Amino acid sequence: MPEDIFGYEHLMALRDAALEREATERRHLMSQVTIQYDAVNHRYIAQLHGLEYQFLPSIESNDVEIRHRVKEHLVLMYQRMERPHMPTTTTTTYDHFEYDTGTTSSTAEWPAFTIESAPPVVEAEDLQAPVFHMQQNMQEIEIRALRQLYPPDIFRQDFSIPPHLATRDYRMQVRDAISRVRRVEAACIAVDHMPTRLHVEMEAMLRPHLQQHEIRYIFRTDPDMPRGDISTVRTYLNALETIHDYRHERNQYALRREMFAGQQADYQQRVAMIRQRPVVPVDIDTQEILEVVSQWENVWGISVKTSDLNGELSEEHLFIRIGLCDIVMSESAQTTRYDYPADIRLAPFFFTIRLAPNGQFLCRSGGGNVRGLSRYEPGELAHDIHPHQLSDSPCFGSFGQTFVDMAVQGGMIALISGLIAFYSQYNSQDSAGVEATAWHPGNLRGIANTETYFDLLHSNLLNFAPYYVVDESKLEDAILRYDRYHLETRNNEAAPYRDDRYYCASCGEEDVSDDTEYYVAHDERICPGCWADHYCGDCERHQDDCICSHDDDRY
Amino acid sequence: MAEVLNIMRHESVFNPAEHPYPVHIIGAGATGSRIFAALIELGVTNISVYDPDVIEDHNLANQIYMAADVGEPKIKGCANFAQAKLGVDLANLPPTMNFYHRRVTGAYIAEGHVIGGVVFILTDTMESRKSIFDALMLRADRASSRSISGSGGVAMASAPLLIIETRMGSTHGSIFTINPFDKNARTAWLSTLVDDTNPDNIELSPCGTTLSVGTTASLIANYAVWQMMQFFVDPIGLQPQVDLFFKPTLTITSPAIIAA
Repeated sequence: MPEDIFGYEHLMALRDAALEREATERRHLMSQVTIQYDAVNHRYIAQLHGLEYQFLPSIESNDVEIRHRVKEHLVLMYQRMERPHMPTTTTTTYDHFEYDTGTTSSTAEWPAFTIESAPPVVEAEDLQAPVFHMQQNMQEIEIRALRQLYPPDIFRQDFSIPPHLATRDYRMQVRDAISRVRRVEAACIAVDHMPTRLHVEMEAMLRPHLQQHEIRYIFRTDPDMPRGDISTVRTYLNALETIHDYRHERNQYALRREMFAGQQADYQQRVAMIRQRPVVPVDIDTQEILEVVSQWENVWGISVKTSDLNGELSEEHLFIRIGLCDIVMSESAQTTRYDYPADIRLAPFFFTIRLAPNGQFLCRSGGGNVRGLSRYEPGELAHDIHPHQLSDSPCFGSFGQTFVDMAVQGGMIALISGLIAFYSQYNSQDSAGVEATAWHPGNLRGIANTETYFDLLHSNLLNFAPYYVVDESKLEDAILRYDRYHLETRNNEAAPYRDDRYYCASCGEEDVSDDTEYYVAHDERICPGCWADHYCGDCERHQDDCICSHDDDRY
Repeated sequence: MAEVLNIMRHESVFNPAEHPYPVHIIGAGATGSRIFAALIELGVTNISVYDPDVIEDHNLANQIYMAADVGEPKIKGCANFAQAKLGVDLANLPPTMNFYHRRVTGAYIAEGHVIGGVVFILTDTMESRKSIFDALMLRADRASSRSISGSGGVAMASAPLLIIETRMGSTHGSIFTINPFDKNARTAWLSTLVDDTNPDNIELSPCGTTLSVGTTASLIANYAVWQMMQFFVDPIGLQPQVDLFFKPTLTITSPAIIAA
């Protein structure tokens, strides 16, 4: 432990003095801020020593409150320009004092303020982000691709089991049906050899165990079922039917087995080969991720760490938090359910990826892992930032498998790029995506307090991990841009209106809404006419993609 | 770390690095020892050899062992061959190369041994071959049922990929290649089993031992390895049963030979 030169109490005194100096300086700067109000554009323009800040408040904001906040924000901007940021590599905190035992600091000194200028892009200094080790497991990807090469029949039944086991359920039904017939015949014999005076009691005994028509047959009370001709009894007819079903199923199984057993055995063998192939270790260079992704146009910040699920730094999981801005979600459905395919801009937000060593990845919404302009908490930050981001994790839909495949291969940069593409779209044909209009400025309240919004996003990235790159000016500008966009769009553009009718994805003409008949292929509705003409009823694919073996041109 | 052979001469035909599956050789006799040698020369290192016997002097004529190996377990002789071929100490053989001085039985397999990969069944009796075969098929059945139903059973990772079994006479032999998941293939193989306790079904030397010719064993063993290679590289056309006859029957004298 480094030598305790100053002593704890002396250091606390130094800290208090520094805080007092800072507060005095802030009050002095606040008094020098000048603010003008532009009534035409409803914006406040603040100036301090040549530094200008423009703020567009929400319509319901209080003037006094706005002016105070504008002053605070401008003073903060001015101070950041003049002072370096707090080093993030030390473990020194304000709440409890710890000696830094790392290489970056050897004495417990209070960080000194200087007047040197600092860049708006904040990076963790003198740090190399770690390499994350994972096992590249391609098995599920390969098996999924393998399944496409075989007919679906081989996945419905195990043809390696003997026929008598495969038809076991049918044989049990036959046994039960024949038992019922014999029960009726036994009851007939018993009744025939019994004094007539006991028939009433006998009927009362049999009634809980036999059906009405069987009782009528046994006691000769139905002229349509004469005794001696059991073929008139439904019980007997049911038994014949089950025997017929069993024989049919047995023959069909034998045919299917002859057709598909070989292919199934071949498939099983290939699956075994895939399962027995050793996994390949992959190293993910998180420093490269930081350097590449932070340069992207829509990224205002990124931070990475390897830690366990409790947040303790370790190599167990890889966490990547990415801040996005200027994301415009566009309609991805071929046929929009709205009156027009609206492009809807999202306010700046961030999301978090968690990658396990086995390649499994998650994008949790809860626990502060996603934050942006909320739909259900108007003007505030929450995780419901996108129509497909409402539950505990995003509903990736058709993107999902692609993301899983990228993650198991360790392609994190590609995965992040794919997630940005996911956020840049909505599908109004989807049950969740149809709510995208709720994020249009006509339906969504704007940012209540841009300063608070900035601070929350900014701190959530900065404090998340020791390795980060954050472009503060980019984030600020993006928030302002969204504010302007929100105001202008709200005043000049109507939110898209949902048209609840569906149309065939194949011909685009036939109405296939909920109250009509339609088929579904790859989440798209197909009218009966197009289905009969162009789709295979067995594999449910378009005729161009059919994998079934057909003897003729029938599909 | 053991040096790996330079396989540039055949790497384009068969590259073992592209097929990193375990290979189990059950029986290190005439055929088994030569299969082991062929696999080493192909560059395969993930090999497990099982044999309970000791090398005797009469084994030198038809098996890969050297005079210095006499008295040692056959699996030790295999290890010595690998050591000499790869140019390393026994301690530096590839860690995936394992040698088991024991008899493999159905019960041994049921305990969880002989996991996955290609299995060469080269034991000395039909009864033992059937016992081993049945145990491996049971494992394949459990893995298969789980694969279809998605629940229970042994994982596919432990099921055998391919079974290769050979039989050999003095001048002929057969190689059987069985997909363990194919019931028809299994039935066909089971129908080929003969009663090897019946002396009418086996070739015996004048001293009462079974006949075994080294060159025949070499041909059968290498063809068996070729079956394995074809399974990995081009499984279409892989024949489940191959019968070979080697006895020369030159009856017409060639003029070229007369002239020489």
